[in-house]
Amino acid sequence: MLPGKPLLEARRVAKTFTLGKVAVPALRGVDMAVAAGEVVLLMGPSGSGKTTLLSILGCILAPTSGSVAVMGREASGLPEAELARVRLAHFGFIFQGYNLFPTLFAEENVRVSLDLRGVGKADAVARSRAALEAVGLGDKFRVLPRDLSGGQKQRVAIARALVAEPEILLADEPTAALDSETGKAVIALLRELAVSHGRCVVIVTHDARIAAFADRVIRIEDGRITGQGQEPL
Amino acid sequence: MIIRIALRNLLHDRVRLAVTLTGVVFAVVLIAVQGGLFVGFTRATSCVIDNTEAEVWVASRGVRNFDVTHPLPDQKFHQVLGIPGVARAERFIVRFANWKKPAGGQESIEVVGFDPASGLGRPWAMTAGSQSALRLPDAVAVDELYLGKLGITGLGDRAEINDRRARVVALTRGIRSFTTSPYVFTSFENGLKYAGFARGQSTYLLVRPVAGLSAETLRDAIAAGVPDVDVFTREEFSGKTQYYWMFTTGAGMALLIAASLGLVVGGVVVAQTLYATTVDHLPEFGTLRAMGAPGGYIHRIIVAQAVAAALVGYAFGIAISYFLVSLAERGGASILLPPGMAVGLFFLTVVMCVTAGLVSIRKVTSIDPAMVFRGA
Repeated sequence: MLPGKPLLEARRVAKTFTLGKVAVPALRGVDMAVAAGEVVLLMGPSGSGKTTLLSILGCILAPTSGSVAVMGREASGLPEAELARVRLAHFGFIFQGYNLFPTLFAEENVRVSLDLRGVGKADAVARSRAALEAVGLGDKFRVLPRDLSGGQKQRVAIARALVAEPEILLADEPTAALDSETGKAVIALLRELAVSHGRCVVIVTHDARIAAFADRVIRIEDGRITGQGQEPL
Repeated sequence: MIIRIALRNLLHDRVRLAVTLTGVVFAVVLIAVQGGLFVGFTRATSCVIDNTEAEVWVASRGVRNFDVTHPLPDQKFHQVLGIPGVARAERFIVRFANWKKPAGGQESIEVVGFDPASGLGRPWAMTAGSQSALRLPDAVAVDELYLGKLGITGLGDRAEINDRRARVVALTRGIRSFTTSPYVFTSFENGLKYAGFARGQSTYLLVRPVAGLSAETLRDAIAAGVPDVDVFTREEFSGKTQYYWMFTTGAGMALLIAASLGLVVGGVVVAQTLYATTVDHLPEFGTLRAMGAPGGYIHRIIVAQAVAAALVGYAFGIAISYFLVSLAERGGASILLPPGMAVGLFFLTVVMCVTAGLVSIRKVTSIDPAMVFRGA
């Protein structure tokens, strides 16, 4: 049962990759929707299609068939430039490997997200610092990623994803490189910052320990949703 | 942020940055020196023409350049004087001759005989002696650059030109010859003797129009009224001479090809290093694309990297080039690097680096943003 109107919706989404002459189906008709304020985990074994689904939900990868609607607007079939505008307008991304700019300070890494959206420098600096303070890195503005711990890097990545206040947050294995306690803290933070602002969050993970922070867990196997509920399946 | 990201990317790998800058500096210096030699040689080929006050030049039919031509008979001088619109006409001699050094040995020289009374075709940039002293028998002016080559030390020194006495009464500075034969200025009377010409013969007739008459109109009038001569405006004859020496002899093309080589080699080096820098930062560019960065945002980062490399490389390159120019001024080579050329070279450097960056732009354009979810 969705708590509100869906911000993100996939209908009969299928994706087939072609490796040489061999067609490899990664998704076989997935239907799902995520509402505002909802935290959804996508779980399943490696190669089950979780990351492919996340890429399609994030308008980064085009489905072979089916459609994706973002904020109620059909996104499938849009040209790449338009999809980039959709991503910029509505999405925040958190990646497994943090994907921070190694040559930029923490504050600058966060500010990139605002610079892409045309926010002026003074405003962008203030908002970036506020975002870092919100993730507990108020004393790390002028620190390079190489001098941050894994947990701190992921917090910078969260600040970067949230600073532009996107409605939808997509995270790919955000705790994979973190120890158990740090992983839990990061997810708790993510939930707090997202849900309190009415955002929806979709997280791909293998980590069953963070299921407690999710509203819903969707199990994917062999490119299909095989179950969903509020506990790890 | 674009410039910040670009600069940090460049500075991230200092060794690669050094290679990039070396490529730009190499290109700038090579183009500046070869281009400067081209400009210097080009100007040297026509410097005597360009520095006379004669607007119209009359030469024997079929002349191809300033330095080599047949003598004109005296009759042509009088025919030219009879053309309406001629305010003044002077005989002028240019002839290769043999200079015998005081201490023995010989050099080829180019005797330039002018009328000291009118001053048409006189030496410029005189640093010692006077034009009036050149009226004296055997009096010549040479350039300071060639004192050693001519085996003399300065004013008062004596030598022989085609076995006739010559005495240095004036010195000039910076009158370079494109050929290996230095110009030796003397009076027309002395020039006749050195060139072995009959009285009244000359190589050229230098003509000035009456006030208000254009050089082109007078040129046409002389060409119509005097048979078997070629008539040029100063600019035409200058251009003809420059073209002859720089392009029909291949000298100019060799210099231009060397300059182009600098452009190509510099461009390739910059393209390779910028490409390597881009590949190093591909995950970041992929992240930007995944976040929704417009293509232009990423392209501007690469262009900013290229422009930054161009600016720094140009600054070092042009400084080295001017240093080499100053060294050349003390030697026999004529390298000219006028401000206009330096400005042009700046834009060429920027274009070279940005063009080199296009390879990298192609690379980032082909990034699949989905790479960010594959742990790339």
